[in-house]
Amino acid sequence: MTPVNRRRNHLRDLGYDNSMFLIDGHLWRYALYRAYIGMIGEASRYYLAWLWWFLEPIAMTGVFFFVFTYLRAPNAENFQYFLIIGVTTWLWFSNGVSNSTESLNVAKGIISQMRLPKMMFPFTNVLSASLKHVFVFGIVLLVMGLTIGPSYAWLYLPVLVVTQLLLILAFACTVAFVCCWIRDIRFIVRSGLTLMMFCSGLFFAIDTMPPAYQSVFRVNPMAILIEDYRQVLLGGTLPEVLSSVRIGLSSLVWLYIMKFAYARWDLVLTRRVIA
Amino acid sequence: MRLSGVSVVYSQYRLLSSGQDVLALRDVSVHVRPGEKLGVIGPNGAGKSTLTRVMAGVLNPNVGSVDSEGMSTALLSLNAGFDSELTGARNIVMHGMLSGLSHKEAQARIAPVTEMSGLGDAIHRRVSTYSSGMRSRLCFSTAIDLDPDVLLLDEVFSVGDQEFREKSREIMLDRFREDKTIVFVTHNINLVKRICNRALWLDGGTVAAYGPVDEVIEQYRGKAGGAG
Repeated sequence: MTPVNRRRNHLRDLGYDNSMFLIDGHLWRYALYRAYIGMIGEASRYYLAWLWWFLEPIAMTGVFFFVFTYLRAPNAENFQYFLIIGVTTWLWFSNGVSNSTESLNVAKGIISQMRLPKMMFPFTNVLSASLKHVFVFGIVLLVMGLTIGPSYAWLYLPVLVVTQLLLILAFACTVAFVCCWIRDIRFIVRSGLTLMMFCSGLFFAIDTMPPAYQSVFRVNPMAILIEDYRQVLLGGTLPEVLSSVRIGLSSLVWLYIMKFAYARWDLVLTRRVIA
Repeated sequence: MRLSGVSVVYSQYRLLSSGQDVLALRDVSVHVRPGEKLGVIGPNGAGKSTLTRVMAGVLNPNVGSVDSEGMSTALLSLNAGFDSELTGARNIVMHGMLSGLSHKEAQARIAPVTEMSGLGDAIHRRVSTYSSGMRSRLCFSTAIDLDPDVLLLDEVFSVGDQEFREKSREIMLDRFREDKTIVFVTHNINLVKRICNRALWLDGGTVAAYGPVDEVIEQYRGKAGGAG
């Protein structure tokens, strides 16, 4: 099939996404390309360009390190790594979710021109946050590997990364969908993310909390994931597999529910964006 | 492509502020036949852009039906769809990929689109640095390159320098010779008269006149005082 014919067929088929995957395979490649050039475009707007991908987590870690080291005694061994694992993991989640709140409204131009599966817009935002995280987390792993040394438990990291990616996608698709209906929700999302951050054990080990509070904190999936990352990277032991599997599977099920919702109300979403 | 009794309402409801629903189209029926060139005219806010969105399948009507009769459509409007923070070349690639091309095939479209648009080296500059005329060139050239069955153009000829306007009209006339189906929204009555065989005059979301181009333009000039 020639490129021109393929384009014609594609233009005719746009909007009919019957694949078993969350979005069509071709649109996955588009989302990845869009995320990549979006990162390049974003970097070109700042004097320090891509350095901000690293400076943001370093600055946030520095602030927390200062507060918790000098204003109170640190409550964990290797506190700097304890913090940076939490901060980088948290920033991946919060950037992916918060950037997605307006993802459909920002894409108004292309949405008013082409009928596309709208789930790909939050996907693109999450992929963009993920590409940045790959660089930052890679540096964290390299530094930790050279200083405190790797362990076999690190082989469990891909499970945690995939689980977290599914969790971010589930949250991102949900907030993008809801904020398209009611834009005011983005203010609640911001507050919700702040609440989740303080309840994620970013600054302290959940084990050090009173037992009554620990179960409350562990309702937060990010608290469980951050704890698991620390256990793997700092403790060198495997976390409870069931907790990751539970988060990953629930996220995946929720993503398919969102896929149904996006498909069911696709044209209504378009109307909300354009109006 | 057949639109039957199409009405579109935009909801403006807000909880704590007043907002009325906007009736963008009311009971519009149009039949665009293969090879037809339909010019859509009317004042601002008449529902012209909404009509092209309905034809493109981007919007569904609240009432009425749309039958594309198996034809593919591509809608291009002046400011829509391009990311201002990216270069013209990257926007071409993105449009190509959204139209079903692989990344490699989409990259290969940069050269022909650049040549058609006459943008030269500016194609590697951010779109935010473009003049409205340059945006129009990029938009029109990208639309032509998509080569759909029905090309929907929304006000892409309204800006641009004389040279570009002449060039885009030439390309448009070439398309006519190729027997392409084109629907285009414009305020330029002379252009509609010159190259269209049918015209649709929208006013306040309703069809004020629809039929052979000369008859519609005569009515438009007479009743609306439209200037060309």
